[in-house]
Amino acid sequence: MISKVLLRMLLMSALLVALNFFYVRFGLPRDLKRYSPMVLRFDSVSAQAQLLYLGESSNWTTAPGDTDKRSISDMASAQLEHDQLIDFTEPATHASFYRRLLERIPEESDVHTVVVTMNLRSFGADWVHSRLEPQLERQMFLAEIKPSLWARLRLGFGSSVLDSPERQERIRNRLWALETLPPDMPYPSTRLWDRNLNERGWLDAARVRRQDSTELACHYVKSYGFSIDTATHPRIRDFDAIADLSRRRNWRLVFFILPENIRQAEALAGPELADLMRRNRDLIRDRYQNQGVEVVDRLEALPVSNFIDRDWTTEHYTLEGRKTAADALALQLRSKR
Amino acid sequence: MLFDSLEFLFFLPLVFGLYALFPKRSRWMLLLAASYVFYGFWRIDYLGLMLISTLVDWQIGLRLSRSENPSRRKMWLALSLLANLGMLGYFKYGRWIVENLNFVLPPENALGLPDVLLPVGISFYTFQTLSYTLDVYFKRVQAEKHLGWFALYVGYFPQLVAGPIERFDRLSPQLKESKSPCWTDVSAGLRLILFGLVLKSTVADSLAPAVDAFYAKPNDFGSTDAAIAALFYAFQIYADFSGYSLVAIGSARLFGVELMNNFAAPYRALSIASFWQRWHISLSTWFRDYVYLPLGGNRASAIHWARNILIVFGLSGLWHGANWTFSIWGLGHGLLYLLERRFSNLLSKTSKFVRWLGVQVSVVLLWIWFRSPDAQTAYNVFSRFGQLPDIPRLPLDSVALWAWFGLAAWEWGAGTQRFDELVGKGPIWLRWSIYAVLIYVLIAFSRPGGADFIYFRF
Repeated sequence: MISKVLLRMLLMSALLVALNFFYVRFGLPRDLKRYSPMVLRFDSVSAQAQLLYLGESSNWTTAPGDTDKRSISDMASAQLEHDQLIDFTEPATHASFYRRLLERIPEESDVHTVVVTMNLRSFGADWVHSRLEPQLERQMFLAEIKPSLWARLRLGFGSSVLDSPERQERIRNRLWALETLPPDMPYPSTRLWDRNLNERGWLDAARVRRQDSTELACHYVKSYGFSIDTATHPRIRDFDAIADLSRRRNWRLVFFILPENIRQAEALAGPELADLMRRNRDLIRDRYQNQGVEVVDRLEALPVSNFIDRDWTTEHYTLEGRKTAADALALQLRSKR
Repeated sequence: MLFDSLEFLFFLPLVFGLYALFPKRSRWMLLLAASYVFYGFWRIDYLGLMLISTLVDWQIGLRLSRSENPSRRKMWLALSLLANLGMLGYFKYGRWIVENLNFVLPPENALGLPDVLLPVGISFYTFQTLSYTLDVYFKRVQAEKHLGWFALYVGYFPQLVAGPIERFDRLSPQLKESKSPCWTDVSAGLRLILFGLVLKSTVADSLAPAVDAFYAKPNDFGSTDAAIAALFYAFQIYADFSGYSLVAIGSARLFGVELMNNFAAPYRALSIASFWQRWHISLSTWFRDYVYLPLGGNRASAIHWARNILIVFGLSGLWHGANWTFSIWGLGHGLLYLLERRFSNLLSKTSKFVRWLGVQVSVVLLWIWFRSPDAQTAYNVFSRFGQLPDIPRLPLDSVALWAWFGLAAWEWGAGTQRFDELVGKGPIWLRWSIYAVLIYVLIAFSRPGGADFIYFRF
């Protein structure tokens, strides 16, 4: 029986090699279009860019009354004399995807400058383990895993290899419970902060509990109530790798710290949260400036009125907000290296 | 653990390899441990429920075998029924019962809804243990003295979560034999697993999006879409469940265990009676042996016989889920069965094609009740058929259409022959060409994030 098994295993291996060849030739192009459109779009965008802007929905989200619907990157691009800033915008993406996409740019590419948005909220457990993460991750499968037939098998059969949205939620809850905040914060963990805030409630001027504001305050705490451990944080690892890649490829790299609604965070959850946001910003800004990366820091640049979403934490700006952000970026890009 | 997951694709060869290496006398321990890992992978706390069911029925089986006192034996049987059906009732029907009670109770007396998750496979292993207790009670089998062997009978992983529902006298001796792997079993098992996975991951999962889109908002579609969705669902559920059963049968076959066939070309049936001899055979025979025959079967007056039929079909519908739509589906089949018997002379004079068409159209239309989450949705779906045919708007991709036609052709061409038997007869070049095509189809056309097995909900 053993010889029979061995012979068949050999036959099966040869068959799989042949099937992989067939798949790469005939099946993969179709599947990339269907399951990895983000990767194909990045390849197409990066092939025509010299200045590349990587961002998420903050780039192009507009308010209903905006008279100018241009994105941040388009507004910044209009202020550049010779170059055009071409954007790659994909909702909910972050440093991990930017790193892996940037690695795809071929050596002979014309790209010489890369702007990578740094969204402070993307460092929080709520984004690191977002419900959207598995579907974004799935888009990278066919582009990254070799042999392609194995990648396709994992795509079809490996739904549980990726964290399910439910598992992501469990991890988030655990991280919030374990998150150790600096000693001068009002609570030792994000979970306790959130729980106490929820129990105490957010009180208006008449000392009446407002449920909507309480929920929003708790959400602010969960979104920004974290401290960054530079040795282990996945975002730091990815931004470090982007900085390293840029050095190797001789790209001009700009990290663009996006505006956050820090004033509302302070009004709802207290000055300690705003302080924590500033400390985290300082940490990442200093870390990358020390590595020679240009950092445009607009964390506190916008007033509450420049944020579109008032009932959630987002980086979606009104026309004025986008313009302020774009002006700062354009100024940096126009400056000499 | 799901059959269509990477975990299972690693788990099965690992268990098989260890099984081959283990000495014969301790193989049952490996299989039992593997079965609990398989089940606990999904949710470890519900493993406790299965252990309770195992312990209760093992103990009751022993006590039944030791006692000759009829009233005492009845008491032990009642206890087993209470424990098994109580557990099933609480986890599967508790919420539904309370909802129905609240419908008739005044609002101020409304009961709180129990917040429980249906443990995967509970309907299957509960019926399996019930059949054991009933068989011991009626002295059809000897009680199992060894807890380990009994636990393996209840928890045997290939058929644990969605059947086939095996009887003790059929499965247990095979498990005890601890047969050493042989090439005939291994090749047949692998063929079945391959074909079962293609049915589930390629055929059923590619039909699912169109069906789901239609049932999410049936009023947005016309009669053509309603017909397509009905036909697609008939094939989706067939491919899904028969695919699962084939993987189960194939996996067991690797270990030298022959599980019963659960399907035998149901869409070729020329009568409702024949359909039920071909669809989910392990459940139909369970209801026949443990409900229909004890009720008197056909050895009763016409009225009582009709009552027995409707009870069996109604319960069979309700077994699938806590929803009136399932009961309507079951009772619909029961009524058609009775009509078929009533007009059997007339039907025997009609052509085979007309009979086949009548049966299959009825089956497809009754699936609408099965698939609809509530009666309103079923009504909305049926009302679509009152409209004139129009251009389909459902998201139909080529893979779904190929899958549908492929399965229809297989059903028509292969008939009741199983894939492993049919392909196993061919020359090696043909067999390997078929494997190559199926492996390619399985990998390249499986739908990412495909739906769970439909019968996991039951």
